[in-house]
Amino acid sequence: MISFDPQFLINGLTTGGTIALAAIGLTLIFGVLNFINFAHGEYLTIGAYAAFVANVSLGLPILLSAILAVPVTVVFALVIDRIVFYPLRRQGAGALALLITSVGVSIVVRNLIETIWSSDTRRYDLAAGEAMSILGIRITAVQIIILVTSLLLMVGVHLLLTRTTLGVSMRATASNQSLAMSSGINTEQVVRWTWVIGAGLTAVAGVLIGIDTVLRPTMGFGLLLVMFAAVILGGIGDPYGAMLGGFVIGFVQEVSVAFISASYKPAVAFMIMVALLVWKPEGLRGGT
Amino acid sequence: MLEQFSFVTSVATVAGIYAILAIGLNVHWGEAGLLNFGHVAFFAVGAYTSALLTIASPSASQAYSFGFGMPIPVGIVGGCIAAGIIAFLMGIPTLKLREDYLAVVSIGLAEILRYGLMNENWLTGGVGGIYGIERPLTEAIPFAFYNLFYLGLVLVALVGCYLYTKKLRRSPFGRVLRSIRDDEEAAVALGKETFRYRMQAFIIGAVIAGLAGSLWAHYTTALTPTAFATNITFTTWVALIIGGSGNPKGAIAGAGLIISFREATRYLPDVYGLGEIMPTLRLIFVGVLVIVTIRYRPEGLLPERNITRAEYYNRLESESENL
Repeated sequence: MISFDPQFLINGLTTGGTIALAAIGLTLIFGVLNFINFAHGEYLTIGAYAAFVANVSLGLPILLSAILAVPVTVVFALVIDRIVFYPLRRQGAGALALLITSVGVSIVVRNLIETIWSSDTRRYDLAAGEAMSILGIRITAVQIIILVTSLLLMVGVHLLLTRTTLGVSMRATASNQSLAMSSGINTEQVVRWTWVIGAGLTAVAGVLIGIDTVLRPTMGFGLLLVMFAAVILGGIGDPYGAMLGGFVIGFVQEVSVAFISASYKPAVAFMIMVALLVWKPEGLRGGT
Repeated sequence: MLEQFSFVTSVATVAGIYAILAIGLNVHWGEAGLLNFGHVAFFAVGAYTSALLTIASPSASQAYSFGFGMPIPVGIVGGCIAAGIIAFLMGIPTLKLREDYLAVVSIGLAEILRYGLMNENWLTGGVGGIYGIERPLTEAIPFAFYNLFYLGLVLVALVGCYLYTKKLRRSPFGRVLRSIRDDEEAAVALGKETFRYRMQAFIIGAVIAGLAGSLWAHYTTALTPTAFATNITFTTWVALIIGGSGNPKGAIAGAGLIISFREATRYLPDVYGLGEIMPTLRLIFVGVLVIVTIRYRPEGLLPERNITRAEYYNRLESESENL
């Protein structure tokens, strides 16, 4: 008999928070650019390593390093878009050409990172945090930081999407690109801002994961499947769905340890996704 | 001299096996437009099935508990059948999905299978893997010529797959597949059951990949899960993209190029002192090659006949319109 352990809840929430952040980026880019970006995991890795350079090589405090990682990743994503994806869009290439190209980008960037920093695992320079106990649940300072940061950013995304012209343009472009264009929305500008927001959120997720665990060149690629699962679970292109999907995946991954071998933990997210695709292909939140 | 010769033989054997894999993927992507990113799963299933069917019953010290000691041809046929069955099972939930969903789901299913290979020790030997897989006709062939013999075997299989898929391409079945690929709605309007055609193509490609896996198992004589990571899928994709999809010749040319490049650069580090970073530099080059090919020559080195670049883009377009 397995009783419910509240510890799963807190672990699931923190894992889910980081997955959700990265998944929002992936799903926004899908919504606006209409292709599945296989290089998305690499943006997460770039964010984590940018903060590593600031924190360890330059000796800056982790908070400042994390803040610096965001513009670095954003610039990186914009440069990649300008030299790789934009020319294809202009040629009129379809989603599959973009998808296959993003696989190439993923291979290049991942190996570039490994060439520079080797495949060794790295850690940020952090004071070891002590776990505290709230109502019998063990929670570390790092977990609180992850939860608070990801929740704040999600509220930020919500405000952006609903209260700003940019957010409304983004949603309009995502739902019908040609209609958005004919109503005077500059879609290339919306595309650029989507990269800025998507890459920025993903960079933060990378730093948070780096703080929680370790850095390695394959960290983003390893999470790509989990992010896909969160995105598809929430209905592809739907940022709120991605948030929900991220938390569901994080939570189920942690709880699954009670039922099946922990070595299958990464596979669990995927089994849920496949099951959902068969049962409800439009995602948990239904068609948009 | 002899050393160089045996190096070339081994590169050609590996290239031949990858060419078979690429021919299988070409049936999926080139003929049927299925975006299969889990190709390694069929390769692995073929390899492990053929190995388990042919090795002797394991001793108590070994992690795995099966070994049927059957003749190698039975193993190879078994490997092909098992890969086909896996494709059938994977196809049921995935082949009705949008193309890009299939990419995501297939890569995930291949990963789940790899976790299975790592963790189900009773079946696969877990991380330690399976060793001592038999090679065919070891008694009859003199040792000095054995690798050459095996290369011949791989080439026979390759030519067989080439001729078969070429025939498939020209058959009514192949024409229906391409019509589904290029315009599914039109095919449906003509009363074609697209799911059934897709499933058949998916199984055929998987059986070919399973054959490549069986040949791989009896060539290397040892299998571990680390040898079946996603990079095999990506290498096969790169071969197909660069060689040119939509015709089996492109698949063979691409596999030959990629594998020769990979193996030829293996000995460069000693010369230029690039030792540690060489493997990653090589992959960076491969990634750049994919990006450049899609941008400047999306039809690949050997394009599908009667298709211009504009038509190719049209095809990618029409597929993405279904999204």
